[in-house]
Amino acid sequence: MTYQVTECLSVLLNRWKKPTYEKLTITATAYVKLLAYINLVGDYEISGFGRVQKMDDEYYITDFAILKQTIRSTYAEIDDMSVAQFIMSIPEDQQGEWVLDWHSHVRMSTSPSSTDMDNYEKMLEARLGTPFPVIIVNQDEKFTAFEYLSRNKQEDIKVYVSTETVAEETIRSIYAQCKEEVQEKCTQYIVQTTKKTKTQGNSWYKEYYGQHNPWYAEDDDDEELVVEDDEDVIDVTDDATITGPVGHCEICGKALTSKDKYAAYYAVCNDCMEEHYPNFILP
Amino acid sequence: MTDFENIINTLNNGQQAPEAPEEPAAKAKITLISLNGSKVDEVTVGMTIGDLREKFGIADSTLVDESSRVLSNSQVITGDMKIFTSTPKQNG
Repeated sequence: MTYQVTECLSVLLNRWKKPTYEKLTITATAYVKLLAYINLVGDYEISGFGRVQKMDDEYYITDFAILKQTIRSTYAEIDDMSVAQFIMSIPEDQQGEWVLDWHSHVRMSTSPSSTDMDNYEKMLEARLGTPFPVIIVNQDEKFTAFEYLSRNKQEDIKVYVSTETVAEETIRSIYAQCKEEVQEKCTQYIVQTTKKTKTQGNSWYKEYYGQHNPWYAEDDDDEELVVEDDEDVIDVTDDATITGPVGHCEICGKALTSKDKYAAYYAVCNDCMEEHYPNFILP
Repeated sequence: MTDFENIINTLNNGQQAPEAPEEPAAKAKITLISLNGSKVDEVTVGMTIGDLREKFGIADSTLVDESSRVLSNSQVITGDMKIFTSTPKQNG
């Protein structure tokens, strides 16, 4: 049987490329916008692109944008058509400036997950092999930033925030704009619970299975659940049938699928669960 | 098809008539636009989107034209085109 090769041309082409962005400074107003986005979604992640401009030989992040997306506590997804439409909407004089790939990690570590790394590789292809800067930020304002050159090469970027003060009125205005955008563009990935969780209350599985549950979020309240979009509904039945992707394994980082039967309760794949928790019994 | 003119010329003069110059293959200007800006290249008219993917190493990306239509691999390039290269953004 012929071996299916792994495409790696970008590894070779970018092996000798020098990184472009050793340092990135986020302008004060852009930073207000970023903080608004990542905090407005509460316990959920959010993702988008950012505008990088070169001024006096220095690179500045001057704006952040979000696109229509589905958000969860450990995952955010924007479909390919939304990304394409975003590229189409970039004014001609800003082409090539919206290069920054960013997303938030709520309050967790800002290290990239395997989902992130796989996606950066796909993004590199869609960007015709041109390296790009990446920022992962959390609500504690911790950052991880690097330039993605290939799956074998990422160069650290130092991130600074401009120290200029922003008027309260400006902050209020940016906040109002971001709030409207988040409400319009972000769809929560809603869990539709069953009689079982309703009769036993919402707290039992939070306490028992902890915050590792990929569906755990403060606003996952059984009684107040409002299902707005059928496409975003996961139906957790009594025998824990799951549809749709549910993030990634907390142990090995592999993307979880509907075959991972424990994922309804714990963000761990079948293999890791059997290896690390052989005595775990599904309730 | 039999080239009678050539045959007659060969019989009369003992040499072949020069062949009509071949028309150069028509070219199309392709502008590939990604988040990192645009790249312009010329390809031969008649090339398929599948061939274009191979030429530019964009096998897994979503290719969309100016009218937001997703381009299929069998689609043939008939003239100048602007193509947007995209992929889903998934973070976890």
